[in-house]
Amino acid sequence: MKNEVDILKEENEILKIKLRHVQNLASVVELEHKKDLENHLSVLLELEDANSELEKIKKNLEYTVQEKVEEVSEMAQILIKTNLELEGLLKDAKQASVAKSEFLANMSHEIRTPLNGLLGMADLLAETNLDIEQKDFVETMILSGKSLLEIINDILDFSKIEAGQLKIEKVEIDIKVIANGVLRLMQSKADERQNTLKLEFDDNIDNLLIGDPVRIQQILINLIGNAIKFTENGYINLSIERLETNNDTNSLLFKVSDTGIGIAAENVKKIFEQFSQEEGSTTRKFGGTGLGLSITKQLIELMDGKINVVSEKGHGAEFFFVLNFEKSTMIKEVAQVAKEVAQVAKEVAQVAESITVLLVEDNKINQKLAKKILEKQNCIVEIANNGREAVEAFQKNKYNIIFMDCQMPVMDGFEATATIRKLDGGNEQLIVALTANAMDGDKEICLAAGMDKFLAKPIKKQAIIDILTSINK
Amino acid sequence: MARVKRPVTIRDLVVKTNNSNISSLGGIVAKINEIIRNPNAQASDLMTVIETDPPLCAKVLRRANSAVYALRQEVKSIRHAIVILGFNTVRELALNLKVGEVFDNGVVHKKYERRELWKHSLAVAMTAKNILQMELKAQGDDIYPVALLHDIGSIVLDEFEPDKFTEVLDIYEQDNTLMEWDIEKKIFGFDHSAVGQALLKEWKLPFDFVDAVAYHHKPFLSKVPNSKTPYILFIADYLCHNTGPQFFSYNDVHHKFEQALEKLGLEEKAIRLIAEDTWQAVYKLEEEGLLF
Repeated sequence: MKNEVDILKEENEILKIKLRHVQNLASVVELEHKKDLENHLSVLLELEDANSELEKIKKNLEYTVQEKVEEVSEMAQILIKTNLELEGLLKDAKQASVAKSEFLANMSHEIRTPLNGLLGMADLLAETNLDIEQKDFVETMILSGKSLLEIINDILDFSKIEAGQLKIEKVEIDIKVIANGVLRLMQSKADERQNTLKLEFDDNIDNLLIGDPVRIQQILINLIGNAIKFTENGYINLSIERLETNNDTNSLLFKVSDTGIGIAAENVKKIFEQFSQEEGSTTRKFGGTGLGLSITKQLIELMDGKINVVSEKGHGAEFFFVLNFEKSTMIKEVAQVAKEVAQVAKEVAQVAESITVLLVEDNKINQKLAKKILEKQNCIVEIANNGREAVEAFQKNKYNIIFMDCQMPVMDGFEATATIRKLDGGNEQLIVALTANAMDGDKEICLAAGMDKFLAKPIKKQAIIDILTSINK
Repeated sequence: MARVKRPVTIRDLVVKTNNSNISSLGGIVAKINEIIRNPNAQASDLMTVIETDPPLCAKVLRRANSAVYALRQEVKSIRHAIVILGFNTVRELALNLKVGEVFDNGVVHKKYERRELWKHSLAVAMTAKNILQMELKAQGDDIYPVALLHDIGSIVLDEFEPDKFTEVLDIYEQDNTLMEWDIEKKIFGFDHSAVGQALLKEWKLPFDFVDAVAYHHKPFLSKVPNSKTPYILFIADYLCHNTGPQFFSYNDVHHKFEQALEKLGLEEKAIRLIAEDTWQAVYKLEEEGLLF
């Protein structure tokens, strides 16, 4: 009994303790919960704050984005408009530039044709019996005509470069031969002004290189001509030096120096600009178009070079530039043999029998000029005034060579050539095109039309001799 | 010729600990403690502390989403966990998981395993907290981290002087009339409570923490006037060692245990009721593999 009471008492005590514990815990937990609630509240407040902040940022962002979009689209529209305008302007400018260059090229042609007639006739006239006064008149005429031709050639070159029509040829050249040729050509001009011309040629330069002989010659003529023009009673020196000798490529330094009046430092840069000489008065005093150096500069640049000048007023000038040339694969000996063969052939030609020639040309002056040149070379010349007459003549007679102008009334040279080719023996007929269009590409057109060879007008004596020599072979 | 080695000092051990991965413990505990003590601290402060330790953060989230709490929604952030589980729960979780890292490996001695030491530490911490809350109606916020760390000195001895520590355990096994910390004093010249004291001081934890760890075997020597913490820690430690998740048993300090109870006006029966309920919870955690 007592035991049970004790056990109950004991249990009661434990329950009391547990109750106390639970009550205490409850109050502690209540406090804890209160703290948590506070925490939750602060978290909520924080979240709310963050939310409104986010809202604000979002609004700002939307606003800014909208603004930027508007700004950008506005700018884009302006840009598109400007672009269109610019494109239009560019097109106009390009068209204008092409038109201008074409016009210049055509005009210089139109001028060149009659001028060549005049010059040719004057040359022939000079060879007739004239008294001293008449001879003087004719020589002055020839001189003036040549100057005019030079100016026109300059303008033609320049407009070709501008129109992008000028192409640099890649053929085998001998720089030494070209340099000597230029010097020979300029000798008389140098003599006129009591100047001494000299060539310094580096023997390390390979004999045969790949380049454009005509343009190199033109550059050297321009620079030497220029030097002669501004030098009197002095020296003009052309020096060509190979810069390094361990390569297949020849890097050549060209120097043209003179002892002339020189260029003032402030004008050195200007002299390469188009239509500019050192100053206005220079042009009046020394003549020239002011295109020579500009053309020279552009030609050198077309060959990947760059021209420079060192000069001081009163102490002469030195123009220099470097051009790179590939070495020709052709062996020197072969070239030498070919040269000798050509020489022999030339000699043979001069003693050969008469050559029969049909000259097809509508222009009377050109007819006369060409006929005279040909007759002097021992040719029997027959004239046809247009393509149809040429075809008729071919059907009646045989000719060693037909010189065929391209642009003619009634039937042009291309059609006439094509017709002859279809006739009996027409395929074997040697036909040489004569064309006034000096633009590149004409050669290809002529050859495509079935012509064998191509001669640019004005007809030069040497070109005709070369052709005659070649058929005599 | 064997070189005569200078005996290791407490300072040596503190320096070694600070150069090891145990050192990150100090920072986290100090920061969490600051939050508890600062009346203006908010949930976001606790969040920041936990989130600056990414592995800890991941562990807390994993535990929050475990079967223990059986939540209906997935907890995706520490902020979320604090809202759902409560500030204290998350704080204790973070402390458990962080301090537990240090106990979660190491040698298995015949009589000793780090994991066992951790189970003991966790039981002491929970028991101490529950005594405070259920008997003294206090929050028990402070005592929890102190109790978790009270045997950290043993970890340091084991980590950096394993041979000597094993020697201590061997001696204790042969003669368990000796107090474990007395053997430590013989072998090292100091015991694990002195090491823990130095370490907590080095980590700049509050003085009453340092004091409680230093005197958890001898609460009457505490230098903090009117602090109940060393006594409750001692009571909880004693109970655990003797009848609960124990590490060693220590018998001959029973009179001190009674003195401590008397000092706090506690009744042994009531305390034992609390302790036994608490241990059931610890054993359950162990069964479910949730001690770490």
